Amino acid sequence: MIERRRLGLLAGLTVGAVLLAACGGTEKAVTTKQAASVTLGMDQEPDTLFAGIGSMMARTEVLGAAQTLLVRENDKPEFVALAAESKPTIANGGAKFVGTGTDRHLEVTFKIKTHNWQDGKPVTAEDARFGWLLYLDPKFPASARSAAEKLWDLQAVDAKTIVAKFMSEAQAVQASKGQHPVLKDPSEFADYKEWAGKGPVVDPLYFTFGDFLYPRHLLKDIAPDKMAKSDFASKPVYNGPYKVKEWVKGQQIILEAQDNFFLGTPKIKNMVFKFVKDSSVMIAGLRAGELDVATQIGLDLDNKPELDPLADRFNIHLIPGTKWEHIDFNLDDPVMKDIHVRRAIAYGINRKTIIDNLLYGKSEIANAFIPDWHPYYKPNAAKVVKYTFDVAKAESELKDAGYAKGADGFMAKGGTKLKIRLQTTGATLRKQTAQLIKDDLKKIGIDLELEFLVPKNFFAQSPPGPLHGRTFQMGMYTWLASFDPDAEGLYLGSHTPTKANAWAGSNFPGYNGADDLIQQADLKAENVVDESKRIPLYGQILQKWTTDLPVFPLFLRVSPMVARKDLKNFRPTKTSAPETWNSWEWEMPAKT
Amino acid sequence: MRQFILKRLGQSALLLFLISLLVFGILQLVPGGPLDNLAFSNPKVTPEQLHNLEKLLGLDRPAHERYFTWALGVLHGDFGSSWTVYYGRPVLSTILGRLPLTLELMVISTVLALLIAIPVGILAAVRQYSRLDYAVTALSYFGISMPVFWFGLMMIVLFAVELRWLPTSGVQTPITGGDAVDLLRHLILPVTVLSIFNVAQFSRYIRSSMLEVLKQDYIRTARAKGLIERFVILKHGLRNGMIPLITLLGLELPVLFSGAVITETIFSWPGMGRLFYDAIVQTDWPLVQGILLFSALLVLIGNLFADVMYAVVDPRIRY
Repeated sequence: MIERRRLGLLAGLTVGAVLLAACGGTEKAVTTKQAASVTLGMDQEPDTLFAGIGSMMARTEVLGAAQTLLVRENDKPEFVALAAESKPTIANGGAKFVGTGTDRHLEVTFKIKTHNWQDGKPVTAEDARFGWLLYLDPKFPASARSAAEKLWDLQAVDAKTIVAKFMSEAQAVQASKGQHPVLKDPSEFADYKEWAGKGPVVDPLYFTFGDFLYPRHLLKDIAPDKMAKSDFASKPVYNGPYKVKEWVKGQQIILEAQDNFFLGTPKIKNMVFKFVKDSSVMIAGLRAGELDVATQIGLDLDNKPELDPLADRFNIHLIPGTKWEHIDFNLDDPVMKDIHVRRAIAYGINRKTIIDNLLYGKSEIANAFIPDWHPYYKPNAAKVVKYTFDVAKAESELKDAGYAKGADGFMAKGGTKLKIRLQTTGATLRKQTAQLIKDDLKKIGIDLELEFLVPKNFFAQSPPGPLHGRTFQMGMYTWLASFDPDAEGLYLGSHTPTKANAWAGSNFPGYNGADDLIQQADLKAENVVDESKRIPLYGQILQKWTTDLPVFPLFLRVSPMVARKDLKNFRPTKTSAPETWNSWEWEMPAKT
Repeated sequence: MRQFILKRLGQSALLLFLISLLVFGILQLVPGGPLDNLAFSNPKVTPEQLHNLEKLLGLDRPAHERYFTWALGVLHGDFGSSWTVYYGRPVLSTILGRLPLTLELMVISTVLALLIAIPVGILAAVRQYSRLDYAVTALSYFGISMPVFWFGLMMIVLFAVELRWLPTSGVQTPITGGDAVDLLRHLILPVTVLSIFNVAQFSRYIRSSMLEVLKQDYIRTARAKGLIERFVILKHGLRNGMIPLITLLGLELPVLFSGAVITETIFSWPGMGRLFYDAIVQTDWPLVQGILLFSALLVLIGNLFADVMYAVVDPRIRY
């Protein structure tokens, strides 16, 4: 009798224990209820949502959530395969040189992951070929056709396999004569006119050259010149985690999560991009709980004092990014062509003071045309010549240039005072920076005259402003650095604007001191596609460039990005990737 | 009157033609173009690609050819396509898309301002030099002098951020909003900010005008006849006192359609004012031309309306 009771008690206790354990296990499995939507504020509205048209960052932000590229840059920076099975490289055999002699060319193979467009139709290689042909159609207003033009062909080998075939040397010459199989106009291949003897055409970002994915089934019946006006431009269908549900012009764009997104169902059901023109109102929106994120195109560093009180609820990211403020020296100017004068200016400007006083100490000194976090800079850091603030060195350089201090405190040579003009735009930060520079240079005896111009006039090409027309002595502005350092575009001698080339080109200083190295690093195929060769070449370019000092880098610009502290997996980016590139991974609890 | 209206319509057509020439011509003189940003932000864009994009925008044709194409299109209701603000979208539909929200904001704030300003102005005139009169005068000066930008931000901080009674900006709450209450909540702050300035302005006009009218002989006669004071002021005084206000309202008509760029910017209200500002900043000349021509048309209609209303209000005026 007693034993039965004991057994019964034991059984009861066992069942109870099992039930308790199950309850405990169930509690662990319960997930936090996710917010129904995440609202991002930006002060720009896209001009279109048709990928490939226009150049606004606002469009890039929205497409970061709506579109998934085969291979894309993330926030680190590195290039990762998303819609492709893997990133095709020379090293893993995904890219290879084929053929010999002048027929030798680069072929890059992409394998598309099995996934669908947002209307349920499968994404296929034919969609990429369609997109490539669209880019080459002169009636399609592509904002940058350069990538598409480097290809002789883009083939859909099967439903999942794309082969991008870059031009061989022979094909480049043919293209310049109007013999390209698709695009006939020789002016489109002006760069390839003298390609003979230069080897195959390649690109350092060759592993992104399958990214012409468009839903062919939706666009094939629309004429290319009508596409920008079509409904697709306002309510597109792509292959990303969020689909555009509604674009209320002037107000917001609403996107909804795609349950079957192939990289994982987004946790947050809706994403809203709200256009808020005024930065103070954007901050008010954050404070009032109407905005969860202020993107990098909503605020600037001047807003930091207003943002600081939000630090208990928001992460305020102040990350020096890809934009570098700098001063170009016109190397054809009689004063600026003297290296001693340029070095004097470099040693004489206290960049740390500028950063501390104007940028809240949140920026970094720039030492080259590549930011120091860039994979091309880090291994070459020791080769970069750095100009640390040193008044004594500055004055010594001016003495070496033959200048002596006059009674008025300014340097002079042959009876002529050392007076230099710095031209820039009238933006507040530029004005303040220019003033600090003027004060610094006054201390070493340089009389700096400041001229502030409207951006349209300062950057004008036709008729040429001071930069394109090369009438400046010192010009201060910002360049946007990208993963490809592109020394060729900025500092190859033949890219200097002249009257003969209608003032085209971006080499405003007129620098040609590193032409040989740049041609090897940016124009010789084997080097361009092989980072083990290209990075050391860039080390030599950086050393030559910083020694010759055609440009004096100042600092990296900082764009604040603000996000709720409980928004998980939000990755603020220092690269050109939008913050939304990994939006399917975001998690944010519902407000209680 | 009919002849007068027809004559004015004919003059207006000629004026519009001259204005279109002026608008088009001035914009050609502005340096730079819609592709400047693209050219500068991406050194890889070649001159050939820029030239192709210019061709697609029609910029490779001479100015006079572009003007005639545009003017002919306008006569057929085609104001061209946006270059940069909404790439490729028709200018007319872009303008018309912004019009309802502009009218909503401007008409409500103007009507509200009138409903407040008219009785306040009359009271201030009738009780001249009283405490009420001084208070109205002081508040009017405050309303006229206060920067709209600052006042709008203060309202947002107080009512939206601190009290959380109202939203900070926009027309409606995304996704969950759109009902009448939500739309009304979003209207309150921008309408209040706009109305304050209009109340101040209108009440000053009414007060001055009524003070002039109340000194007239016919007002003394009406009182001597034994009419009640309210009847004297509203029937005899106000009708004459409204004439300057009608002039003002006639000139306000274009403003109803062109919006208020500062208020629209602060409250992210997508009206015509903000559209115009964006079009200028982004060098979207077809959109700028379209808006300016539209505004010119409204100014002409507004002036005609004011002149016709004079004749309605004041029987002594005949054309």
